[in-house]
Amino acid sequence: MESCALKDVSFEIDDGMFVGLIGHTGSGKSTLIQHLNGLIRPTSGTVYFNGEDIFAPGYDLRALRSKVGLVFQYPEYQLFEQDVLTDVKFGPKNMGLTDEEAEKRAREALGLVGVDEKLLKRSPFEISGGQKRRVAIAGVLAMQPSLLILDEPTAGLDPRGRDEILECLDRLHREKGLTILLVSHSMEDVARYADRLLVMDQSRLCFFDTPREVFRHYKELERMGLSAPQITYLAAELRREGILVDESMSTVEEARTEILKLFNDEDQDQNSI
Amino acid sequence: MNMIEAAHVFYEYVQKDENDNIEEVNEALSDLSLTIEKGSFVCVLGHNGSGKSTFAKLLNGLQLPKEGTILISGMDTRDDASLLNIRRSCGMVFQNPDNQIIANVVEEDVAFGPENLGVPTDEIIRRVDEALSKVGMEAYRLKSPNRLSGGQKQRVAIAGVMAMKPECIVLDEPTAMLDPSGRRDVMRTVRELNKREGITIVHITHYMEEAVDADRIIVMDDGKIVMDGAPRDIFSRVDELKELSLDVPQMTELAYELRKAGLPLPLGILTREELLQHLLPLIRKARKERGGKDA
Repeated sequence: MESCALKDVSFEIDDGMFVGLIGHTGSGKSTLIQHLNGLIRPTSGTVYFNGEDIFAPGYDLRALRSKVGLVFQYPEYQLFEQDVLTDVKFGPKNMGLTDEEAEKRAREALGLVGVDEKLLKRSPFEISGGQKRRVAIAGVLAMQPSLLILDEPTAGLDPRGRDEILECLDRLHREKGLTILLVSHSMEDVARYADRLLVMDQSRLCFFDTPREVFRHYKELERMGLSAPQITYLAAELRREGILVDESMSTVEEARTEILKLFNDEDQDQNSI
Repeated sequence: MNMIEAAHVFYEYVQKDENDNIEEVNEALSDLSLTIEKGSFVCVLGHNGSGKSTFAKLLNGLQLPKEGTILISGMDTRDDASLLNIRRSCGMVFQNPDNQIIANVVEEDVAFGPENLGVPTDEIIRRVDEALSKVGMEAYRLKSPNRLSGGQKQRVAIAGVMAMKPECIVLDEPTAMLDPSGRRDVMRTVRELNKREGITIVHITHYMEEAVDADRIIVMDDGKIVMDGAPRDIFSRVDELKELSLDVPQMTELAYELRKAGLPLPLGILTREELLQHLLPLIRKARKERGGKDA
């Protein structure tokens, strides 16, 4: 039996973008990201990284895998070393770096994800779920990738653990200029952090646009088993009532601004509401 | 009789080194007391490590309290003779769907519990039929569980519990690993079991939206109950929840922000409908005062 997991998917991600990838289970998201660092070879078509065909004969896929860092789902299951620092050093050492250089990178990566110095000598199995997850991400960051791909990095975390991871990604994106591809089931999270969204449905790429534009198509998203953020629905309902707020608002902050605008007309004193 | 009665419950995790010397003691539950009425839908919120899951495991005797008592329908979980009845009347569903499905065919998986109880075959068949139809999975009866989506697997796990004819189901983050449509299906199923079958539900979750239509919310922190009340009361306390590293539903947060900016909205708005119901008259009034110039 043959089944097609990806059909005619084409897109380009620019340096420094923060891209969200959404789609229901089985839509082809995981298959897609595994193509991006050469773990899966496409049946037809190809993948270019910095303009080079990664499946061309002689292309150094090993080097690619340190530049395109892939963080799988539940990456903490892949922690295995005796302590946190050694675990994070594994990647860079595997790239052939000296112990000293590997340690430097590991420490830097752990600092970037906000893992406390005190934890470095602890067993990775004794720390909290959110910490484990960040250690696992540091393991990939220590290879100093320029593109970081994460498959549902916040699944199963509590709100604090989730915010810690997302804010860390946002910081890496803004301060280090890292390009990020985030697979997520949370429309609220991608609405807040991503500048572009890739939407997969039944092995095809359906949208590649800004979150605001994508969520405008909330009815189509629902047909794909997805949804828009709550705020998008609120905008639609307000507009149905004849209140013309921006239909593409998608975060609490945007909604707050849009709604307050209705009360703060220039010839109206703000204090009178 | 109450479904669940916990009185002054303490539980601690003791970490020992190779020589059995105690290295560390973590108190997971400390002097916890509560009662849960039959037929109610209770959501338990709290960040990781707050004691939620420990509490869940105490409810059907997977773990026993160090001090204090837990009664399930009046049966003490420390009483060995009651344990089987307790596990039958209080079923559990866990986070990872792949860890709780054991058979190769859906119907066999659902039959596993009653088979273990020695229920006669024709009764088992009847129970499996009934349980699968209650969770909306009858069409998958002869399918292999590993071909199902996460949400479908969770519904099969719930059917497995239902086949034991429980009075209460404890769900420990059953939707954490699911996509939005899987999450919706599981929540719909759980709500229906509560409404139609009168099953008491204890639902542990990190998704505040799932707690909105519970009868009661219990918030845990540091092994204790720190808030206990109706969703509207709990979600009125936005700052306290944030202090506990918890979220509020997005509509609650928006209403709260608008209120802070001066709009006279009530506290504890939970849904879009409620927000619109209060917000629309305010917007219309503001328009009228402006002389309807942009109406």
